Formats: sequence, C-alpha cells, structure tokens
Amino acid sequence: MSLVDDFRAEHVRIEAGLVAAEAVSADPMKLLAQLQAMRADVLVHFNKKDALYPALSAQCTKVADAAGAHLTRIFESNMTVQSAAVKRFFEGLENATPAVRASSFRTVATVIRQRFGTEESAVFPIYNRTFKGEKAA
Amino acid sequence: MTIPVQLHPEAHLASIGGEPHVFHCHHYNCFLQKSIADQGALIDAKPLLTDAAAEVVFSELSALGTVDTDELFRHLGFGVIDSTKLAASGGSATVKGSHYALGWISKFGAASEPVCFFNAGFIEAVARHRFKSNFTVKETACVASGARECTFVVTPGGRPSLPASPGMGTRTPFPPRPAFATRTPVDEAAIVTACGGLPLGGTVEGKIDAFGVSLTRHYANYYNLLSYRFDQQMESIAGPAAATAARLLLVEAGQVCAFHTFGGIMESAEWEGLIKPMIKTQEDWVYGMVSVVNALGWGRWSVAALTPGERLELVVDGSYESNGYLAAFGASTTPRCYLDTGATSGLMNLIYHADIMSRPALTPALYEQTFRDGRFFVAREVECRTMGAKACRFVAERL
Ligand SMILES: [Zn+2]
Ligand SMILES: [Zn+2]
Repeated sequence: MSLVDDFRAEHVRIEAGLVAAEAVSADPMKLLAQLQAMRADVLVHFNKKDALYPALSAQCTKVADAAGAHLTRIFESNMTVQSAAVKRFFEGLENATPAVRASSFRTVATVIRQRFGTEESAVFPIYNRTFKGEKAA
Repeated sequence: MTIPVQLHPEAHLASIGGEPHVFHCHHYNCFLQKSIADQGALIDAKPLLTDAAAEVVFSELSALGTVDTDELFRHLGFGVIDSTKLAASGGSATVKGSHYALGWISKFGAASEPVCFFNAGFIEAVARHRFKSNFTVKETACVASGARECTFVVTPGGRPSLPASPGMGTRTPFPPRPAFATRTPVDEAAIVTACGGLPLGGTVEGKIDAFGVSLTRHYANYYNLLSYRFDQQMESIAGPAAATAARLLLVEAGQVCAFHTFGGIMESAEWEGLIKPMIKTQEDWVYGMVSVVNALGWGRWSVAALTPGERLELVVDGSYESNGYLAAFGASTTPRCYLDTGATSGLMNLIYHADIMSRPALTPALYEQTFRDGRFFVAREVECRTMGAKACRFVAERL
C-alpha cells in the first residue's frame, strides 16, 4: 500500500466518523463523545498530512517536476491553515460550549470534506506521478 | 469632456460604453495580478494580463466612438496617460502616477521588472481604436522598478482582431430579496444614494483616493476574462490540480480585497459620517457594509440569514462574475464567483473576528491573524448562477 492508499482509507474512516457525529449532533453529550472517539485518528491524520506537503514539494524538485512543485506550494499554504484550524477544534473539544461545539463541527465537517475532495482529485495525482516506483521517505 | 458613466440602479451596476465598471482597490488589483504573474513557471501570464485589458477597453472605445482616452484613463483612477506620441506607425505613450505601479510599490516594494500590464492593454486598445490597425504594446520602463514615469513602446502588428468582450453579460431578472435583507435600521437606499454622490471620479492626477485606499473604477470584464482564462490555462497546461490551485488563489484574492477595501471603508470618515449613525448592533455592521457594496457595481447583495458571530448566508443577484462568465464561457459545472466567496468570509472575519469596530490597523500581520488564527470564518458558494441557479448564494461559517 502506498501512502496515498493509506490516506484514502483514512478519508473513508474519518468520513464515517463525521456521518456518525452528524447523526447525533442534536445531542451535545453524544456529539462530544463521538468527536472524542474520532479525535486521535483525526489528529494523527492531519499531522501526517502536514508532513506530506513539504515531502511532496521536495520530491517534485528532486524529479524536476516544476509544475508539481509549484502547485504543491499553493496547496501547502492553504492546507496548513485548514489543518491548524481542524486540529484546534479537536484539541479544544472540552473547552468549547455545547453550542459553539455543534456549530463549529458543521463548519469543520465541511472543511474536512472539501479538503479531502481537493486532495483526492488534485494532490494525490501529483504524489502518484512524482513517487512512481519509489517509496516516500 | 465628461465620461458618460451610466448607472443601472435596478441591477446595481454601472457601465461606460456598454462595459460594466466596478470599484476595486489597489490591494485587490495588485494581489490578483501577482497571484497570476507568480504562475509564470506554468502559464504565459503576461499576455493574459495585457490581452484582456486590450479587449475590454477596445470594446468600450468602439461603443463610445469619440472619447478623450487620456481623460477616460484618468477618470477611472489609473493615473495620467499621455498618448499624444502615438502614430499609425506606432510610437510610445507614458503614464505618470500609475495606479498599478504605485500600488505595487506600496504592497510589495520595488519590482524587478515593469508591472503595468493593464496599462499596456489600455494603450493597445487606444492605438487600435485611433488608427484602425493592429498594435502590440510593451512597457519598457516602470515606476515600480525605479523609473520616473512608465513608458510603453507601441509597435504595429499583433493580433489581427480582438475577441468580443462579454459586455454587460448574461443578465436575468432579480427574484424578490430575502426577508432578512431589510431586518435592520440601516437604510440601504440612503447609503447607495449617498455613495452615488461621492466624488469618485479620478482627480487631475488620475487618483481616486477614498475610504483609505486607492480605488479604480475598473473594467468588470477585465477581472472576469483574466480570472477565468487563468483558471482555464492552468487546467489545460497542468491539469485539474492546477485549476483547483488557481481557484484557491482567486478566492484568496477576494479575501484580500475584503480585508482592505471593506476594512478601509468601515474605518473611513465616510462610514463614520454616513453609516455609523444608523448602526445599533454588531449585525448592523454587516448590513451597512452590504449596503455600501450595493453601490460598488458588484450586483445586488442581500443578507439572507445571519446568526450573530456564527454564520452568514448571503444572496447575490447579478454578480458581475456570473454575468461575465455566462456570456463569455457559458454554463459551468463548478461555482465561479471567486471574488464574492472570498469577500463573504472576509466580511464576517472583519466584523466578528478582527473586531473592525475598534479600528485596528489593517496590516499584513492582522490579515494573517484574521484569516489563519483562532475561530475564523470560511466561506463557500453553495449555489451559482453559472450552474443554473437563479442567484448566487454564499455561506460563511465559523470554524
Ligand atoms: Zn509601470
Ligand atoms: Zn456565482
């Protein structure tokens, strides 16, 4: 399995977590419990993603894929901002009021889904073509 | 002579010679240009920046027939142009106090090469219009890179004809405004009328300094052609990933625009005198800013829902982006109103995150803090006219 395959599998798992959280979002305690249950997975995933972009950028440079390097930089700055916000939300679950937690969750879910969509359609193809036949560091 | 600005109050548009014009500040103009020029490794960015200008200006001059083009340039806030040395055999033109050059220096510092691509296109259109022949224009010296004035060399030749501009674009009747749009003591009609009375034509120096920023009454279709061709070229040269990246950059340009232009407006003397007296609550700041936007020629903005501090739903009828996109490119499978998307998150971030009411300095550091730190707002266009919707609808929510 490549790193991208791992990421795709994690996307599916996190999406299932989001759907489960949406199903209980009217109940503050159940929502908190579901978000706590998926927290470790989300944090690990986003930390891995934060490391993906610099590695991908370096790989694009190594294989002289100028377009890939260029695009990766654009994505990196956008994704870093999102990562930080998503991680802040999950790390601070217990500190937020139930109302803030519920409304932020809706936005966080939207941001995560949009991001996964962008990565699957735009970023992973760059990864696949630049790491073809190689294993990521 | 006076420049024949035609107002279309029912559509919240303004036009000259059949070309829609919109107010935008140097922050947006220069940031957008830089976002595109920075992709020079992937696309041929410079012709993109100049060609679109030549096309929209030429369309306008053709419709106007006889017009003092130097006066037009000055009136729109681009600086002072001298085109008297243009001849059928070519020649040169100069610009003093170029909006793009001065804006570039104030935002990014000195440039290593000329930056007035729009001006080059404007001059190309003037030469084509005046001499009924084809020309190309290159800026050979620029204030942004240290010259005393910007110089443009005009050479016969170039594109045999220019594509038609989308003009006023594809316009459809506006549906009734949402009920939420008027749930405020802010008197939008009075604000739009008052803004219409502000002296927003360029000074003798070709400057429109208002709301603490340097404004231009720019060509809506310049932004449209530029943005959508950029998007297209990125996709055709570097695939769908590049188109996605282009869209991120264009939405970011919208945020930059909102931060500086909306921020500048909400901290301005005009706001203090005209709008602040109507404001009772923090939510009224949203309505006040939306009312001012409705005087900028950007289409008709309406608050459709507002949860204080948490969520804004904004409906835009006849956005200049959708008008232009539909006319020039037809239907789309993705939302196309990038400026309005960035502006929606920008508006909410200024009011509920950056505490614009306390009049902070609108610095790069505050921009970073406002759009990157804490519980900031993100926006998306959930319905777009280019995809078949009756109006464009944007949602900003807090993370
Ligand atoms: Zn210049
Ligand atoms: Zn739209």
